[in-house]
Amino acid sequence: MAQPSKSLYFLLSFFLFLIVAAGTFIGWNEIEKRKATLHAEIKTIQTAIAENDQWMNQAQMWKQREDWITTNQPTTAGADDASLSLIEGIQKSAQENNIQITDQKILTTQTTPNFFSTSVKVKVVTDMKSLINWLYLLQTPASFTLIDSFSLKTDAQSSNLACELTIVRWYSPKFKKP
Amino acid sequence: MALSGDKGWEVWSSGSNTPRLLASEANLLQEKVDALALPSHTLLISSHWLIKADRSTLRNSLLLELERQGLVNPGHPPDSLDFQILCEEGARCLVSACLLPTPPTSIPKAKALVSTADLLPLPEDSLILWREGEDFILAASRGNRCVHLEVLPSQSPESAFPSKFLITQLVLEDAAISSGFKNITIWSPLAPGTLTAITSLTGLTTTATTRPAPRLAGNHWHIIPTVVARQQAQTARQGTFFKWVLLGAFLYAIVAVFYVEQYYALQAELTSLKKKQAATAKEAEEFRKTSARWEVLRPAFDPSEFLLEKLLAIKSSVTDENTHLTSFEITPAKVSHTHSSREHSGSPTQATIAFPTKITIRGEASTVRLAYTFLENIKKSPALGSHTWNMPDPKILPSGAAQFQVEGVPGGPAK
Repeated sequence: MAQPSKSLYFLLSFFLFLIVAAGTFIGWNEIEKRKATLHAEIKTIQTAIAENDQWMNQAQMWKQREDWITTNQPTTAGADDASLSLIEGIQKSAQENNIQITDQKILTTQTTPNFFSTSVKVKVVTDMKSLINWLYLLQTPASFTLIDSFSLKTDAQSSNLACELTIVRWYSPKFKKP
Repeated sequence: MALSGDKGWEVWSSGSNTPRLLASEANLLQEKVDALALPSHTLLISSHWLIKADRSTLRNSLLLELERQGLVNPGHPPDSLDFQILCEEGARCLVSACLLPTPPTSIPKAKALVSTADLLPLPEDSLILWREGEDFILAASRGNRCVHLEVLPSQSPESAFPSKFLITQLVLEDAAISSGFKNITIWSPLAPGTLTAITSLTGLTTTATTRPAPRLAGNHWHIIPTVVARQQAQTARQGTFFKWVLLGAFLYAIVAVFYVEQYYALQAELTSLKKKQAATAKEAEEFRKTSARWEVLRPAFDPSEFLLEKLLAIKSSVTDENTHLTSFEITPAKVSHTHSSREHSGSPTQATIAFPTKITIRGEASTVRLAYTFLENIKKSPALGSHTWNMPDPKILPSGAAQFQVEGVPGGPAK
């Protein structure tokens, strides 16, 4: 059998080199792509970890706030109970502050994941001092009461104020069992 | 070891006392032996006194001496030549040379190519006769080194052997190549008459015995035919080339392993980070929900969002007695606006304002300047900072007073 010539060896070596070089290039490209993806994922996870760490650093504060909401947000047995409770409270506090309610109307209720809302539209006639006292008693942090709309007009002839307001209370969305 | 014996080629294994005979010389090419004794008829071993010199000069002197004696053709150096200095006397030295006059046609694979005299334990200062195939070989030793090798043609009659021994003895002793032979050793069966004739003619004791088992002497000839030298050089070149190729492949492998290892290290890091993230993810998500809920419910419990706070802030913005407010309205504002959680700077948490309101204030001021002063005071008030305030141009009344309307819409200036 004839010995392979030098040029054949050279050709084979050259093809081998080409195959290795091409393989290296393709492999390097593939690994670089994967590494870039991994780097991006690592960056995202690191950001998420940093965020989580920030939340965890404030864990005590958020637990306290969760507890405070759970404890203080008023609860109700249902829509009727909520509206009745709200209007009774309004009437009682108005009476205590010598405020005359000229008109009142229960509005529609609304349910969201965070609260069950009931509202009452009220028209009153009063003086400024009584109005301020009434509002002070009406809207406290623990009562979860808001003023949705408010219109205050002064009567030029008298010192009285004509006030029309919509009072809203945000109850807990979980109704208590009757 | 392989050597040519009286019955053909013999292959001797180490520790064995009997050889393995090869059927033909062609079989020798398949044998892998440590040492191969080239047939004596292909070699020439002779000794000469030369002027002492360095080894290179000595080699040239030796070639000239061989040419002078007609052992080498002028201009045709032997295919292989090795020589050893046996002894020195004054300015001269006795050089024993082994040369391969013509290159062999084929070379079996062997670690060393030697002469048969290197493999046989020659008796000291003796004339030795043995048989290689059809030929008889006459060798002379000085000490136990072979200083002369001669092939006696197969067609020579045994009756010529005594005179051949005598001539060789006289020539070598006369040239002082031998300092005097002590005996003659015959390793091949000869007729008793021939032995007696040799003894009587040379005056030396003749011992006839069987040829001993071969062993490779430490100080043997190094016969390297040109073809072998070329092969060795080529093998060395290929070895060097493959060493570099191997080194390159090794370095490539190291770099590749290191590179791939980096990838797997990244994967491991990602897995580790995912575990770390998962450890707090659930609890953090709960806090995130609480934060969103807190922001939604804020208008219901945060006093700064209360109507009274805004009323008082508006009232305190009236700094001049010539400014009077005539009406104040809060109406739900239909806006879709988000803002970041106040407590959690940097957090992506955002909550839709659950209770956006639009505030409208109407009033009169004695001058336009006072109306704008009121607007500026409202803008500066921290309690009213959750709204953006603006005022259309006040209406100038016939009395010169300015009737104004200030409007606040949800969305305070960036904090």
